[in-house]
Amino acid sequence: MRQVANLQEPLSEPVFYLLVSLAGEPLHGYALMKEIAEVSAGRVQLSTGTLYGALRRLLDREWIERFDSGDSSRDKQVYRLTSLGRSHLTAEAARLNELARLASARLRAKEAR
Amino acid sequence: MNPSTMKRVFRLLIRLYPADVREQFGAEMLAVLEASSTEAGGFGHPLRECGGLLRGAIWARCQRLRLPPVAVGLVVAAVTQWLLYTILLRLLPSMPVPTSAIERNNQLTLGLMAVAVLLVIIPLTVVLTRGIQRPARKHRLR
Repeated sequence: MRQVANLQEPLSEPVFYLLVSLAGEPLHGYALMKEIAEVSAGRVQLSTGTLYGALRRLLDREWIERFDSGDSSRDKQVYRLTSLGRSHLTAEAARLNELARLASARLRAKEAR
Repeated sequence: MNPSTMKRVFRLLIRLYPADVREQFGAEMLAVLEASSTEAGGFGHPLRECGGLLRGAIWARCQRLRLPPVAVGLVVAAVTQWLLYTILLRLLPSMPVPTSAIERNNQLTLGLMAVAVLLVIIPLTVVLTRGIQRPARKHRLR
């Protein structure tokens, strides 16, 4: 895990929200778009072109995979996080935690003076 | 624009993607666009969707050709500039329509100069803003 954290660059916001959305359960494209809008409180609204560009890159990197949910048809594919994708998301969460911890510590120190 | 026309536009834009990407995601993308239109009672943000598809198609093509982003920016800027110049030349009544070879040459020179300025400004901007846009490497977790 630590190795993943060391090698990984910060994820872009859309990719981060995409991985977060898939962390819960496998989703198809449209559900994914709605989930991203919901978890980001409407701040990140991906267009279809942007969403599928990101999905394609993540499929190439094997961070996500297509998942046969039974009702998957050619125009309704379901995607889920792979263990590699989960590792990267965990590493990114750790990185963000580290930044937040650092900022909080500095702010507290400033306020204590 | 009504939904059936929008659907035709989306189909057209999806056709701009490379064949293998279209084969892999085309039907799915169209289904997502249709689903969002059904829910919103019309294609919610047609301009945003068209822009997203166009950008996605350009990037997919560039990845296939292994073109660097700067080269893509230059080509897009040059084509846009040429299109704008051509359209403005036809639309604006105050702009004289070239009637002689000299006038045509003058306007062509003006257009080429504008393109040349863009060709210098864009890479310069990319180089100058690279550090602002991509600070990622400096923020790795230790």
